[in-house]
Amino acid sequence: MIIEVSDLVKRYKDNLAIDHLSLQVKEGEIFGLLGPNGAGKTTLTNTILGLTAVDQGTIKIFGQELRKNEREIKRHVGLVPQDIAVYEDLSALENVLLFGRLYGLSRKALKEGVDDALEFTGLTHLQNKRPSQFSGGMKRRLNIACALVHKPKLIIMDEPTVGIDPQSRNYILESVKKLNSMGCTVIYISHYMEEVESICSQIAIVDKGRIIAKGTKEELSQLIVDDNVLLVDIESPNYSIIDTLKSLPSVKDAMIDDHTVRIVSADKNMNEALSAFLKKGVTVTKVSTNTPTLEDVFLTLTGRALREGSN
Amino acid sequence: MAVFLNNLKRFMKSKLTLGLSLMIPIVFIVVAFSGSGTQRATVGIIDHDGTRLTKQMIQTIKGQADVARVTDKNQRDQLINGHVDMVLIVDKGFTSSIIDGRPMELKGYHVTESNVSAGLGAFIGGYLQDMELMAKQAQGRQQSFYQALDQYNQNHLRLNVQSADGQARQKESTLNSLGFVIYGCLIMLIALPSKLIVEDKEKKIFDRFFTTPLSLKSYNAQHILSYVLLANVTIFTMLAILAGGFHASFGPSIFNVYVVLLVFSIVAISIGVALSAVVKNTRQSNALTWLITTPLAMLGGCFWPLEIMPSFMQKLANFTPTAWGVKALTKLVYGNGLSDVIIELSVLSAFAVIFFLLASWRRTDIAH
Repeated sequence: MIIEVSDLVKRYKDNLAIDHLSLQVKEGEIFGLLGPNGAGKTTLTNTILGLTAVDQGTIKIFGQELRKNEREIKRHVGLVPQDIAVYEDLSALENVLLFGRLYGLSRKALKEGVDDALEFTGLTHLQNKRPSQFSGGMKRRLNIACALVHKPKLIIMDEPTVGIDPQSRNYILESVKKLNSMGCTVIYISHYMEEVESICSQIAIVDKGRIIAKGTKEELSQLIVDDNVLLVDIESPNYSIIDTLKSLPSVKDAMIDDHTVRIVSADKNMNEALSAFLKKGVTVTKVSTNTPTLEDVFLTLTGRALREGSN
Repeated sequence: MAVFLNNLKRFMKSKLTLGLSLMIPIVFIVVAFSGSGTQRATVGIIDHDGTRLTKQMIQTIKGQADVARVTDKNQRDQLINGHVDMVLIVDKGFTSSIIDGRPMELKGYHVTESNVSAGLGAFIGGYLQDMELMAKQAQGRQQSFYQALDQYNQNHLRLNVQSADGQARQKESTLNSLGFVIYGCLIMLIALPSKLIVEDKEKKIFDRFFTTPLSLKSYNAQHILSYVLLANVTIFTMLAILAGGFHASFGPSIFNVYVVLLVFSIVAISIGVALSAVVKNTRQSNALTWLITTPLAMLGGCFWPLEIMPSFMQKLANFTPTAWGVKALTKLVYGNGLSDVIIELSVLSAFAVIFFLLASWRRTDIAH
């Protein structure tokens, strides 16, 4: 195991941010961490990075206890923060050099690390430009380069694709896969379900400071395989239909997004649910079924949409 | 040393930082030195003795200050209304007491809040000391004393006296300027660290730094070191301007003054770094910088002599690094060496250590 978190507790006054959480991440995985706003993902990563002290529990990274070997462990961990944490008035090269120096790299390792990190992120030709001259995608790539300069064994990426164009997003996702193929274990935190689905070998869903589900995408889908998802398009948004649907014994969950009502039912027979639309006088324009996705798993387990807000 | 090197780069790239670090103290020096250098005291003298000595003394004072006519009746009003900075009363028998070797005190009154008369007071004190010395040599013989006095007034001794007075005034001006230099350093060196560190926090670079093996103590120490380097440049510039441009009198060695200013700068930087540990944004940092620096400067005697403050304020001043800096500089300017300011330097160093520890105290959480 590259990370072993046991019985972790973190309180902020009366707020229990991490609630007796345990987690294991194997070496070589791309581990996806999903959770809604305030679920405790950032607190969890901050504790793993030694930025936040824990009230209870232990964290072992590379088999060593974090509290006792923090400096040594940090030499092999990289963080791509959600915010673009680079100096706007320094060039890309100077930014990457700075982080390389912070990891105490020798002159030779520093040069090699900087060259590799810039090349990996496709910024070699822009190394003398300042981030203020970069597009959002380029800045995100520089943010990644700063975390790769010391060639970490473990890299934690917190929402690395927020606010960028699809082309840059694909570039970053491919980079994550490539990093992983080079032997780097990745913890990938994202609100983009499709990203997690496409690149993560293991996924954990965090809610209210606890891991409420963990496994591969298939294993998680299995958790709600007996559920049926029905998507009903209606002519005009009607929120009262949700209460009606939720009151039905066969309906596990219902929600509305614009003109589409999404119904999760344990019963394959959806007549009862569809009748509710007729009874409420809601005009149905389209009906379709859906195979369970991670989004469905997430909704079913947490009762909340993943993108209610960013954490 | 990554943070140190990075800060140097940030200084070089920020023209505002570089400009301010040089301009603030320079502006303060020019204002302080120009202002104090042109002041000339007006003294009112009431001569009840009316001897050759007292008349000669008044003539000598005229070379140093404007002398106004005052009487016993109006002397108080003249002083209060600011028509004179100082009133001197020469009592009957003053001259004979000096010649007989039992010098009578020369009564002098001045407004407490004014330090304009300080240089003149020092000059008169020196003049009277010379008279006492001549009286001693004359062994009570009036004729011998006046012969010596005539020589004193005619020969080179007079030039020496004037030179001593010039130095006293120059020392006073230097001290005034150094008070403003301390204030300038205080503003710059508290504002700069808190600005840069708070910027790191606002951009989330601060949190990111500590995902690397860098410790908070090392981060703070490297910040302090980089500002010390910048402070060196500023102090060199300031001393060069004071010495070259204003012929400031620094006592036995300008190097001693440099050492005290450098130690004081480290205290100011440590305060700035400690401040950055508690503020959340640059607005708070700016507001607190002014809130801290001005009272520290006022209480510490940067703008006026500590002695003119009430005794409880003087006691309170002992808890400010500015007061210890001013005390050390005053001693140096008035002829003492570094060994005489060991206590002041030790107290300043203790201030620096305390603020550094406050800044580097490992809080439970770096990230919030």
